[in-house]
Formats: sequence, structure tokens, C-alpha cells
Amino acid sequence: MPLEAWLSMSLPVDPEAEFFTPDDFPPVDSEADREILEALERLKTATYTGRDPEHLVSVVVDGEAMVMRIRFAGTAVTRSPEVVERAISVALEAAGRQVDDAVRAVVGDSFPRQAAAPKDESYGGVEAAYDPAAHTGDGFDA
Amino acid sequence: MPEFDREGLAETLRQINESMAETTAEAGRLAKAVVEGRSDDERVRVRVTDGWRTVSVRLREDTFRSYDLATLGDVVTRTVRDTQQRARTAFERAVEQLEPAEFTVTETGLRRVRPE
Repeated sequence: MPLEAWLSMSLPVDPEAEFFTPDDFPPVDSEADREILEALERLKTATYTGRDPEHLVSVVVDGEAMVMRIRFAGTAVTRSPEVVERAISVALEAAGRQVDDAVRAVVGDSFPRQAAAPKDESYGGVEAAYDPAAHTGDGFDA
Repeated sequence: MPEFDREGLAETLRQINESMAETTAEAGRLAKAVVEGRSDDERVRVRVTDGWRTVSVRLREDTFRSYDLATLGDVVTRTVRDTQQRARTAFERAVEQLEPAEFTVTETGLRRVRPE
């Protein structure tokens, strides 16, 4: 889940409300909260790089996992489009995990984890699993 | 400090948790929407879901013959980012329109348990 959506679901509790006693809710540590928010803001302006295991593709994303730059190694032209497509996805997932790890380092393990990317060994199976019969007439896979 | 209805407060907090779980689940469903994008020459196709986090890219068979690698990088970058941006905008607008049930419940519940 994106960070903004996740954070927006945090329930603010006003400890000063007259119908709560101080024992019911711990006091808000405004200094600690401010530091966390500042750290999260800094993360947004940072960049994170992800690569596929063969280094066919490198992807740079910002702190909100928006793509800033995708680059291909010269060896990419020797591979099938399907392998390069998969390499792009793997590199994007790697960059996204870096974003998540950076956020988690600030807010702790309460931040939801993204689904794990395929392991390296499955990456090598992509080309073997490619079925030419699945191609459509417009040059894309079905 | 006036006494307050502890049982009522507990019930209100339970409702808050319940409604937050519902809102979270609905946001998760909204995030599953798929947004598609294409480069101007349609050699690069992009599908974005999970809000804007999960991206898949399809390259037409002649892509490597049509571009040098630097240009291909620029085209894929632009197509992915534009599609991510559209997906993100759509997702955020949809989430904003979710009924903020937790706040409604909070207001109602706290009015009930607030001491007179």
C-alpha cells in the first residue's frame, strides 16, 4: 500500500480531550513525531536504484517509487524482448524494495511489506518459459 | 475530571478499528485497478497496478531495431512514468472519496460516551 494511503489511516487521538484520562492514552511525543515526519520528507527527495541480476536494466526511482530513469546495458540487445521486459520488472521491484526498506527504517516494521520479487533462480527460467505461440499479430505477447 | 462511560468508549474504539479495517480493505481493492499506457509509436506498452507501485512493460518485437539503447531508455522511462502518474492520480482521488467511516463513528461514539 502506498505510504500516503497507509499514513492517512493512522487514527489521531487527542490526549487533551476532556473525556480521556492521561492513563488511557500515552502522551504524544511531538518531538519524536516531528523527527519521523522530517525523516520521511527527506526520504521523498532521495533516489533509489534497482537492477536485475544480469544487470541488463537499471532503474532509478524517487522516494515515492516513481520512476525517474531507466537505462539498458549494451548486452540487452542480445536478449529477447521478453527477457528484457522481465528484467525491467525485476529492477523496478528491487528499487521499490529499497524505498520500502528506507521507510521501514524510519517508522519500524509496522510498514506493510511489498510482495517479494522473484528469486534469482526463477529469473533464469523466464526465457525457457517463453512460448512463441503466445505472440499476437501486433508484435506483443498475448 | 468527570467520569466517562468506559464501556461505551471501548465499544467506540472497537467500531473505529472495524471501520478502519474496512477502509483499508477498500483502499486495497481500489489499488488493484490497472492503468495502461503506450509510447507514441506503440512499441512500448505499460501496465501499472498496486496504486502505482507494480509496473509491467511490454516491448514490441522490433523495439531494439527501432531505437538505440539511450533513446529506448528515454521512451520506456517516459511511458512508465506517465502511466504511473495517471494511476497514482486516479488512485489517490478514489481513496479521497472513500467514506471516512472511522471519523463518523468516532464523532457519534464519543458524543455518546462523553460525560454530560
